[in-house]
Formats: sequence, structure tokens, C-alpha cells
Amino acid sequence: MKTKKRTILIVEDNPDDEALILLALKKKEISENIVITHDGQEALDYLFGKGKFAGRDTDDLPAVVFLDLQLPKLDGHEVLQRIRASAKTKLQPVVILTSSDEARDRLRSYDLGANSYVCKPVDFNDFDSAVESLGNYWTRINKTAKD
Amino acid sequence: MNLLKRLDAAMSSFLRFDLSRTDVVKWVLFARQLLLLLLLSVVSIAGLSAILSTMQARELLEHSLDREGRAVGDAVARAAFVPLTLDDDVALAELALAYRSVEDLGSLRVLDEHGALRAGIPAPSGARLSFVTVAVVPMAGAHRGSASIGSVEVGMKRDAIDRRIRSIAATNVGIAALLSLFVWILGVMIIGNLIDRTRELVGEARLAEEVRRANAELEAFSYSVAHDLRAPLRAIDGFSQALLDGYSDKIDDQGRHFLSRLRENTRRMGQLINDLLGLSRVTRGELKRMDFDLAPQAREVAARLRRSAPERDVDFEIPKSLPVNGDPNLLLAALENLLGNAWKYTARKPSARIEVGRERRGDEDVFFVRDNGAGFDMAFANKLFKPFSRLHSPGEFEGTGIGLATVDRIMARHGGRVWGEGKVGEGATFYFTTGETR
Repeated sequence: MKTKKRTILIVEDNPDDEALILLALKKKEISENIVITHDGQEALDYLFGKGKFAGRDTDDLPAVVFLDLQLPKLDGHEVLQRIRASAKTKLQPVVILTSSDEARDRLRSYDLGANSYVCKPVDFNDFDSAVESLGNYWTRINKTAKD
Repeated sequence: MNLLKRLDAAMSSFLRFDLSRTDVVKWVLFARQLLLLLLLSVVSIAGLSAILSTMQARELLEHSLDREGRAVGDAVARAAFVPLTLDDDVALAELALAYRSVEDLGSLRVLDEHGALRAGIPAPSGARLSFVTVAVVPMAGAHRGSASIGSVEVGMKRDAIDRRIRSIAATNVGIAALLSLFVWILGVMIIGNLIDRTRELVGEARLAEEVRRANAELEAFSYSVAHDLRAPLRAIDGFSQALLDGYSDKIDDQGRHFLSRLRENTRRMGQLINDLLGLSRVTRGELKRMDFDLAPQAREVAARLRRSAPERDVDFEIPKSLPVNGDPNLLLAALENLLGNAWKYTARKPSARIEVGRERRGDEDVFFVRDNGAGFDMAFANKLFKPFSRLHSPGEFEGTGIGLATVDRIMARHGGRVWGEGKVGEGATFYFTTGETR
């Protein structure tokens, strides 16, 4: 167990946000293995071992998925829907990490089975601490169904 | 005249009626055709029945003429006093006068058993009138004195019969026409009303659709404001911080100062975006009115404010209960703004006091949020509720100038209002009503 890498799958299309998330995560050495995908389809390909991730060991699921809502191709809600629809990934922890704090988006996310919903703060210090605590909680404190 | 105008209006609205596309319109057009068809059929049925009834009337008339003729003939035959001489036309005429149809009586001829004329009223001299024998009453065996009567013939003037038929026909056609006109007017009025009502409905639907679309657009706009404007702001802020964190040894004091000002401005813009979103949020969505207690909400907001600056000494006065009727979410947002303002503008008072309550003003109960803070000059009171307009510089008190505009909109949505009273240096009171119906 100790040797197993705790992967964080980040689904983020904005390169700035991506850089900021990585900055926050790496500063505190939260995760040894960060996988970044830039749209909904790529994220699903990673989880299900398809496309450019063909052949990946799909039993090795990330400790958590940080999922943006506004994404090219498949949006965050659709990705979440497909994650929950598959027997293999239906218990996968998914945290919605988005700029939107619309009640409608929150409701839909929880309705589709999101484990958590976090609105990206504009202030970098807040953002930094939010990402840091998320990474810390989901990779070190939380236990997934398969751990 | 009124009816005609109405008819005309209905007809013209009828002709101009072309509201496209929606299903409602399709159905109304269909209903209109149906009604038109119905009207036409009613009119043609009325016409047809007029003709039929006229034909029937002719038969009835003939029948009644026959009856009258027989009655006259009978009377003539049996009238003992009738001198059946060739010369006594006058007596015959007098007799005939006693009968209803005498006016139209054209001829009355008494024939003997051989068919020879024994007495009679001849056609008026000079008149080229044709006669129709309407009744021949056989009188076989009847004797009057020496004469034996064979039959009595009663004739009528053809034009009199025609006149009768014409009048009956005219009456029938008149009734039919009147009926048709009545049905037509009724129909047109119904159609007119239907069209008016539909136009109203379609207008309402169109308006609702416009409002819905405008709302959707606003929502999409707020959404993109929320998402697309925040992201670059976060990047500016984040990378400024990254510079400060990782490269501070390469940047001098002034550079660091600029970077911190950069961050301060992104923070302000973030606040502005949040406030704008708040403002747009209170204008959309349904207003969910209910009776609830405003006091716990006020206490909650107060507690939150205290937590935000625990070092401050502020005395909140909130009654045990403040029953109100309105949308809890919107009124909470309003309270947050009003109490937030009171909190902000009392920041420089050593013993700050913020009071929430309800009191009688004139003939209405109004809620109020009162503070002993910086106050404002009543000369500018009208500017308080305009978005982005502020009475203080950012250096004095921070703010985006959207908070009170939001409160104003919230109260307007309730059918209520908000207004402020204040005095520079002594504090401000904001009153509001929620358009309660009591």
C-alpha cells in the first residue's frame, strides 16, 4: 500500500489554471503522480484506457479526479455522468473544481454524484490553500472504496 | 353604429390577422376557417329553408284559398235569398263581401247543372286580369226556386295570389336573412373575440418568451462573467504571487510593491464580479414569497460579520422575532448588504452600534437597519441606489457601489422599496418594505 502511487487526475482546459493547480500541489509535494487531461474525452480515455491511454492498467484508478465543468468536447457534467454510469468507475471520487458558483451547476453536480464541489477562488492565496487542502484530503486522509 | 364599428374592427382584425409560426396561431386559423364554414352553411341553410318554406307556403295558400273558396261557394249555394238571376251581380258581390277573401275575390260564378252561367261577378271591366279558379263547389241537386245549381266557381285574381305568395316568401326570406345576419354577427363577434383573445395570448406568450430569452441571455452572460472573467483574473493574481514567492530576490522593493498593487486590484475586480453576479442573480429566478422570521437571518449575518473581524467591538441590536413576508433568499441577500454596509461604515467608530428592527412610519410598517457610522449627506441620497455610484472614495471605505443597487432591486421585485436617511458623521438608517399585502 505504501508504495502505491496516489494519482490525481486533473481535467482542466485552461493552461493558466492548470499551471496554478500544479504550482499549489507541487509546493507542498502533495502528489507523486499528477495526470493532466485537457478535455472530457481525454479524461474518460484515461479512466477507461482508450485513445492515447490504450493499454493503461485501468484497475489503477486515481485517488481523486479534479474535474472542471466547462470543458471542450464533453463538459464536466457529462464526464461525471459517464464515470458514474460505468461499474468500474462509479465509486471513483470526483471533485468538481470550477469557476462557476451557480446554484444550478452545484445542484446538477451533486445530483450526478459529485463527491465535492469547490469554486476556484480568484484570490491566489485562497486558491492555493483550497487546492492544497483538497489534494491533502483526497490523497492522504480520504480512503477510497478500493483502498 | 357601435355594432357596425365593432363588426368592421372584427373583420379587419380578421383580415390583418397573421401571427406566424406558433401552434396557437395554427389552431386559431383552423378554428377561424371552421367558424367561417359554419357561418356559410348556416346562411345557406337559412336561404334554402326560405325557398322550401315559400314553396310550402304556396301549397298552404292554395289549400286555404280552396277552403275559403268552398266556404264562399257553399254560402252562395245555400243562401236562400240569393236571387239566381243573371242580373243580380250586386247581391252576389254583397254576399261575397261578407267573406274574408273578398278583397282578392276575382270572380264568383254560379253554374247550372249543364254548366251554363246563371249568375256571377265578372271581371272588373277593362282590367286585363287573369283569374285562377281556386274552388269549384259542386252543388248537385241544389235548387233555388226554379233554378237548379250545378256548381259554384270561386276565382281569384292571379296577381292577388302572386302578391300573397310574394309576401309570404318575403317574410320567409326576411326571417332567414335576419337569422343569417344574427348568426353572422354572432359568429364574427365570436371570431373577433377569439382573435383578440388569441392575439392577447400570443402577445403574452411572445412577451413571456422574450422575458424568458432575455433571462436566459442574462444567465448565459452571468455564467460567462463568472467563468470567463474569473479565470484570467485568477491567473494574473496567481502568477503575480508566483513571482513574489519564487523571484523576490530578483525584484526590488518597488517591483514587489507594484506586484502587490496588481494583486490588490485583481482582488477588487474579483469582488466586483461577485457583486455584479449577485445583482444579476436577484433579478432572475422566481420570487418565492412566504411568511418567515427575519430575525434569525439578521443574527446569522451579524455573527458572520463578527467572525470576519473579531477584534471589532460592535453592538448589534436585533429583536427576538421579525415576522416578514417575502422571498427568504432574496431578503437574506438584502440583509447581508445592508448589515454589511452598516458594519463597514461603523469601522471607525469606537463604540459602533447596529440596530435592526421594524417600526411604524406614516401608515405603514417598515423594516430598518440603523447604524451610528459615517452616515451620508442627504443631498446625495438619490445616488445611493444607482449601480456603481458611491458616496465614498475607495480610500475611505471600500466598495463596488453595487450593494445598495442590489437591495433596491430586491425590494422592487417584492413590490416594496428601500430608502435611506442619514447625516454625515452621525450614521445612517435604511428603511425597506417588502410589498406585504395586509
